[in-house]
This record gives sequence, C-alpha cells and structure tokens, in this order.
Amino acid sequence: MNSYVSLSDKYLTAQGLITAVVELAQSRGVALHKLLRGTGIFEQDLLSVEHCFSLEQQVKLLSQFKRLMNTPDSGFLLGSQLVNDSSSAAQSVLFSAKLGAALLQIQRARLQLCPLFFSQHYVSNQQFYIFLNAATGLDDDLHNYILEIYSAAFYSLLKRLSPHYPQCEFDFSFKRPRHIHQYEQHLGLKLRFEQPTTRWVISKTLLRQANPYASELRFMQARAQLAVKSHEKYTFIEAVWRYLHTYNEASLEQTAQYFAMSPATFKRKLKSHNMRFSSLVDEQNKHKAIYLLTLRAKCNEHVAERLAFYDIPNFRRAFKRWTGLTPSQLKV
Amino acid sequence: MRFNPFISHRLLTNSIIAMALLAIFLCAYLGELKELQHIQWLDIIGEGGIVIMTLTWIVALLISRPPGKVTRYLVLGLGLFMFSATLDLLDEWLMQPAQQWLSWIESLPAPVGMLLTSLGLYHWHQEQYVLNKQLRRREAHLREHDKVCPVTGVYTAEYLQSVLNTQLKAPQPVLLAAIDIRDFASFNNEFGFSEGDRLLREISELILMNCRLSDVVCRYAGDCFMVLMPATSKQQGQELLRQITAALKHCAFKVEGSGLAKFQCVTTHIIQAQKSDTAHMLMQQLHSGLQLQKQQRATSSEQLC
Repeated sequence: MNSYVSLSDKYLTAQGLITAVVELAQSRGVALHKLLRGTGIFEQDLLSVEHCFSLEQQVKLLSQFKRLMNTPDSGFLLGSQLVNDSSSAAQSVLFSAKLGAALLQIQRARLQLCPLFFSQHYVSNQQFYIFLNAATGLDDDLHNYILEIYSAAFYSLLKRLSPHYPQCEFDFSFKRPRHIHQYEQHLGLKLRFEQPTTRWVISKTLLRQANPYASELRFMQARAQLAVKSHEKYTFIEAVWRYLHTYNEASLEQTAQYFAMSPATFKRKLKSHNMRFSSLVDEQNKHKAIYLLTLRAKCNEHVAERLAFYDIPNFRRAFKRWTGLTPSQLKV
Repeated sequence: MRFNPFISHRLLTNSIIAMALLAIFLCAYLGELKELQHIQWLDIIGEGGIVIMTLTWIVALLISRPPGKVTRYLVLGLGLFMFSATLDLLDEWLMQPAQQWLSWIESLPAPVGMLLTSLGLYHWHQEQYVLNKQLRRREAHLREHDKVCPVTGVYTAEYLQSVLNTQLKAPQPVLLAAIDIRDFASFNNEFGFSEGDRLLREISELILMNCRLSDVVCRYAGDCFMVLMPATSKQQGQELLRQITAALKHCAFKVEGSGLAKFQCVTTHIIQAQKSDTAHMLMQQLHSGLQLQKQQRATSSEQLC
C-alpha cells in the first residue's frame, strides 16, 4: 500500500506558497496578524526551518489571503510569484533540461508544489493534455481561486522556460467570471468556460523545447535534496482516485479494506476532505468517458462497455448527469 | 490608507479620552446613587445609544482622516457633544445636587460642540472643492470607490466597459488604445511588488498627463492600461499613443534603495470601434493585437527598444 498525506498532516515547509502569500500580502499593506488569524500558523513558525504546516492550514491561509487582498488580480499575482520560489522542489523544476522534464519534476514534487490539485497527463493529436482534479472538497469560490493561482503559476512557468511566446489553452468548468479581463491578461486569450472538465492544453512540441535556464548540476543537486525529504507520494483523495482508476468497480467496502480502514472510518476520512465516495466514483467515470470520447475518439458503445454500463441509453443518461451534455454533443 | 488615532492624532485622541473621563469623574464625585426603582431604563437606552454612536463617529473620523483643521473641528465638536451626552446618561444613575454651575456644564458644551462641528463641515466643504479639482482628471464622470483600481487610482476595466458601451451608441468614432508595459513581470521579480505597484502608479500618472480631458484611462489588468478616446480620428489617436510611448521611454523611474533609473518600453495597439461591436469584443480584439505583437517580437527576438 502506498503512503499518503491527509489534510491535517503537517509536512509542508514555509517555503513556496506560504512565503509567497505572506510576502505579497505584506507588500500590499495587509497586517501579518490579520492574515494568520484562524489559520493556526504563528509568526515564529514562518521563520523556523523545522516547522511544518498542513494542507488544511494552507487552504485556510489562502482563503484569508483572498478575503484580505480583495482585488480581482491577487490570485494571478500570487501564481506568477510562485515561479520565483527558492525551495529545492521548485529549483529542480526550474533547472530541468526541457519543459517536458520540468513538468515531470512538478509531478514528482507535487505534494510540495501543488498539493491542492492532482493531474492526469495525456498526449494526443500533437497536443499535451493536463486534466485537473481537486485534492480536497472546496467551496466554489475558493476552488476557482486556487485554480487561478495554479493556472497563473503554470503559465508563468511556460513563459519562463520557453524562449518563444508560448500558447496554452485553459478550460474551466465554472461560468465566465466577472473579472474575465484578469484571466485574459494573465493567461492569454485561449480561455473556455463551462467546460465538462478542467484542463490545460499545450502543443506537444513545447515539451521538447530546451530550457534557457537549464543546468544539469543544479538540477541533480536539487533532486538529491528532495529525495532525502519526501516519503509520501499522494494526497489521500488522489490515492483513492488512483485505486478507483485501477479497480473500476471497487465498492466502498473494498476500497476501505485496501486503505486498511473500516468502511465507517473510511467514510469519515472522506468526509473530513469534504468528499463523498459516490461523487469520487462519478468523477472517475466522467473523466474516463471524456478521455475515451474526445482524446481516443471511441464510440459510445465502446465507452459504455469499458465503464461497465448495462446499455447505451443508461450510459447516455449518466453522462448527461455528469456533464450536462450528451456524448455526441461533447464530440462536436 | 488608514490612520492610527494614537499616532497620527495623539492630541485629539487624548483630549477625547480626557473629556470622557472628566464627565465620569464629575458625576461620580458629586452625585449620589439613585435607588433602583427610580432608574428609568428607557432613558438609559436612548441616551446611552447617543453616546455610543457619537463615539463611533469620532473613531471613524480619526481613523479615516489625516490630521488638519477639518478633522480637529469635527472631532472636538463631536467630543463636546459626547461630553454633554455622557453627563446626561450618568444622571440616570446618579442624583446630582441642584447647583447652578453644574447645570451650565451639562447643557453648554453640546451647543458649542454643534457649532464647532458645523464650522468643521464648512471647512470640509472648502477642502472637498479643492480635492475635486485635484481629482478631476481621475474621476471625470463619477465617484465610486469600487470602480477605481486601489493600486493606481485610475478606473478599472469594468468601468471602462460601461463607458464604452454608452460611447458605442454615440455617432462619433470611438478609439480604444491599449498600452502594455514590456517585461513588467521581471521588474516585479527584481525589485518586489511594492516597487512594482509604485511604478504602475507613476505610469498611470504619466499616461493621464498625456491624455486629453475627454479621454478615459483605465488599468485593464496587470501591466496593461487602456485609453478610451471619444470623437477622435485614427491619426490623432496614433499621435497621442506616440506621445505616451515617448513620455514613458524618457521617464527615468528611480527604484527605491537601488539607485537605478529604469526606463519603460511599451507595446501599444489601437483600434477603431465599429457600431456592431460590444465592449468586451473590442477589448478582446485589442488584446489579441497586443499578443500578436509580443509573439512576433519573441520569434524575431530583435530588440526594438
């Protein structure tokens, strides 16, 4: 069994997101004690090398930050600031030889760099697809805000590591926001809203482009530092997701057993992440169906069979419930 | 910006506290406790409310206004009023001896306080007149603090959009121009956000200076500014953009603490609005024009500036 981290496990260092949040808030005149209120983080924790923070604290800090900054561009500013992170996890990404290697390195160090969302990567039709899912249940506002941060960070990284002006498509599941102009300024014009999944798409050729800041030695050093520290691989929700990905029809009891818990404890654990088992199963099936229909161009019969639906009308109904679209509408 | 009453208004804050203490001390020293059945609770609620509300106003004034004549008059006036109100309130608990000078002290400060407040309001009116003149360039059309960008003080994109929508109905041609600061992200990385914000503020100042009174300047997002030029021909608009570009190019922004002078290069794009366009479409068109230029510059990778 793989080890995983829960919301309340303290493993994050103050480097990276937490430091960027504090710096940015202070430069805009937000008092530190106000920013930290209710997060369980104390001022001296930020200076200590050994002190660790939990994901729950990070989420609370972000929600405080969002509330106190109160400008529509704060998430984007924060995201683009993350590229300047000096932690070894971020350094290993920034010194990678190519963009593809950098993305792989992000995937390896995701518990440090981007723990609140996990991703699946696919290559199809000369495009590189990154599908995103939340690693904890968040309310809509905060969910979208964290996506803004991650998207801005991703796009800044693309711009940093690619000498030419890179293009990236951003698909979001939420409605077109009121501050759409911030999205256009910070993420480019290839934006789509109210999509069935959240995903980023870049051209495959970008992955092979050499990184102007590449340094093999520094990359190896940063990776060696990283290897000493990290043990866990996934957040709890991602671990469940991966299990469900492999064992398509696993029941709640079977999944709980795999994680060495009683079904009641397992449910409680999911609930502490604001998730339900059935919605995770639905998400999983939705993701698989969309992947097969759009990227692999499979027919409805094939997808229904793969997802173990009894017949096609059943599958169509379920698909409509997940995405609001019928499978044929999605293909268009 | 907010003010700390104990730092910016030390004297005023202390005199308000002194007045409140004096009122309590006077009543406590001279009065005798009433019996419970004589206490009128309704009066206490009413008069207590007056005292608390007056205190709130005083605190709000002290926090939001810089020190000066207007603040002094308003706060002292309200303070005297509060003094009288406090005496009135404490009367409900404490029986006061019937002495002439005491009733004077109780009733005189209130009208004097009102007079001072009125004087303060008069001076405030004068001050506002001067401030409005100063702000004329920034808020030509309305005052709504949530439509103004808190960093630069020019309008936000939302406001520009609403002005644009009304301007599109006008018969004269409308021009929309975008000004994008080159490499602003790296400036932010190098010198920090507070210097970046200051640069944006100075740039907005320069753009405003180069625009005509009828133009509307807004900060679209990040380092992109937009200028709406009503009733302007394309040549005029391009000339104006050239002037802004030149002004920014020659402006030596001094980075605090480093002693460096930074000159700003900009990417600009201008379009003429068609009748059929919507505001958002126009802005998007403008934006893609800017992006195209950035892309071309990246591929040709020649330094234009």
